[in-house]
This record gives sequence, C-alpha cells and structure tokens, in this order.
Amino acid sequence: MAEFEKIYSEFTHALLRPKAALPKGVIAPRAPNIIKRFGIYRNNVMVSLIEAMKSNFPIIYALVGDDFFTALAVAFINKHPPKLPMLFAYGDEFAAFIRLYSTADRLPYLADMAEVENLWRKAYHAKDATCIDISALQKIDGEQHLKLTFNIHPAVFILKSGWPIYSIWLGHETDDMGNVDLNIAQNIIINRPDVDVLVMQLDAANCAFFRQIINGKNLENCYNAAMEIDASFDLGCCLSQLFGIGMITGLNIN
Amino acid sequence: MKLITPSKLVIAGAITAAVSSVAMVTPTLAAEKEKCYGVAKAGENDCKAGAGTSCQGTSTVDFQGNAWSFVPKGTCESIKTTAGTMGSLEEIMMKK
Repeated sequence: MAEFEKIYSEFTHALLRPKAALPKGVIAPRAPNIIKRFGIYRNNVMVSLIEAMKSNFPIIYALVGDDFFTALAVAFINKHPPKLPMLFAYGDEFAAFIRLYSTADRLPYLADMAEVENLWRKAYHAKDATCIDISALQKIDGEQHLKLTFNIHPAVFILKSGWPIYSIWLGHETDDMGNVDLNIAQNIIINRPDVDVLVMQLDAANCAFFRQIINGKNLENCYNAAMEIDASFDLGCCLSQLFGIGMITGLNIN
Repeated sequence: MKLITPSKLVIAGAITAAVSSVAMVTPTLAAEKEKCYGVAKAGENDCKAGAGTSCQGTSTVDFQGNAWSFVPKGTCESIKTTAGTMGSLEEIMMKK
C-alpha cells in the first residue's frame, strides 16, 4: 500500500509539472516515445482543468479574455490542484488567489467577481430545502417577536464589496456593460429557493440585517444592526423580502 | 417589570405590515418547478479536453506567463471610469 501511495504521489506531482521526471511505474508497451505519451496525458489534464475553470468562472473569463484568463488559470491550477474528483466544485480558492496574485493589479474588482461566481456555484449546488411562508410569523406570539431567530436556506450567501459587483454581474447577464460605475460599492445576496439561482442587490442596512440573521442573531439584534446604519430602515419591507426570496426555512424563539 | 422598548413596537408593526402583504409576495414562489436531478450546468462534469487536444502543436501544460503581463482583453474594457475608458491602476486605486 505504501508503495502504491508513493507511485500515486509521484504521478500526481508530475501531472502538473512539465519538467518533472517521468513517474515510476508508467508504461506504454506499444508507444515509441513514452515521455511524449505521458506529455499528451499531462496536457489533457491541464486543458481539462483550464476548461473547468472557464465553465466555473464565465464572468471572469469574459472580463479579462482568453490569454489573461488562461495565464491566471494555469497559475491557479499549479498552486491549487483539485482536491475533489468533481470539477463543478473546483475553484473555491480562486478569489483569494486572485487577491494575492498581485498586490498591484489592474482590475481590483476581479477577486470580488470571482467570489460572486464562486457563491453562485455554491448556491446552485447547495442542498434543497423547503422555504416557509411569511404567514408563519402570524403564529408567533407578540411577546416573542424580539427573540425570533430564523433558519436560513442552505443556498443563501451574502457578499459585501467595495466594488459594483451587482452591476458587473448584471452587465454580463444582460450583455450591457454600459451602466457600470466603478465608484459605486455594492452588496449582493444569492439564493436558490427552487431551481433558479437568484442574485439581488442589497443596500447597506439590509445587508447588515441579513448578515445578522444568517449569523443566528435574534430579530431585535438584527433590527438594531440595520438601524445603526440607516435610521430609515424599513423592517416590514425587509421581512417581506426575506420570505419573498425564499430565505427562511424555519422559525425559532431564542 | 417589563419594559416595552421602541424597537419592540416597531417590530410588531413591521411584522403586521409584512404579513398583510403576504398575498402579494407568495405567488412568485408558489409555482413549483420540476428539478432535473443529475443534470449539471453545461460542461461542468465533462472531460473538456475534447477531440484533437492531444494533437495540439503547443502544450498547454508548458504554458508560462504572468497573467498581469497580458493586457486584459474582455468586457472589462467597456467598464467606464470617470476617465472615460478602463482606468489605469493608479486611477482606480486612488478612488477606492
């Protein structure tokens, strides 16, 4: 077994490194040139992973174009080879990688956009859950309102950004980048209550409220967090939205 | 002794308002859709190397290059900054 693990580790090491020696145990009885043959396999692995990255990050690909994306993907793949045999789950560290790749990047919003796509993909593949209706609130005694906490749908994700991530996302959805202003900071919420992934913009107060809800804080704390940011925060409207986009799967009193 | 905090009154009112708007909100989610299990987003589970890849003249695995040495040529070019076109690094960083 130890011998197999050694072969396996040498093999995977050599797969992503063009200058690595031919791993032990690789044979090709009828191939005239085994190094070349292994090179073909190695090349196919890399092409597959680059294509997987293109599929998982279509907006990043569109933003920077083929050459730039390929160079970025190759560097990423070398640093973070897949940990799972499922390519749809590949690329979790891409946003962090882009952020570290260069401290003086030309496209400072790129890392946040990679995170948008990462969360979209997580929402898409998240566990299904049944949302509850806002009428469930009617059954809660008025005395308990402040202590309400919420069970959140597993496909809900929030991202706070210093860049116009929603406008950039929408620009790619609608094929119209005319309305992106880089001076604007935006937050988004992503959910997949049913089949389709929803991406919506959140203002600062709603973002603070939703973050507290997700962190399991009770309604009083969530409300206060939002009011600190914007005294005109509309709780009724926010609650309608919370249930309306299928974020809630259950209620508790804490 | 029980204190009624201002937030308690506001929250009670908001819940009443939100619940009364229920008829408006629910129909969007009521329509159940059929989920096709096991169908991945296009391309996600495929081997993407595809026909002919092995015979490419250049090897992708040997590809070297710092991404930042390339000029990004994509939709980022159409993002307007106050300068009118895709801003230089300095311009964008100063605004942040």
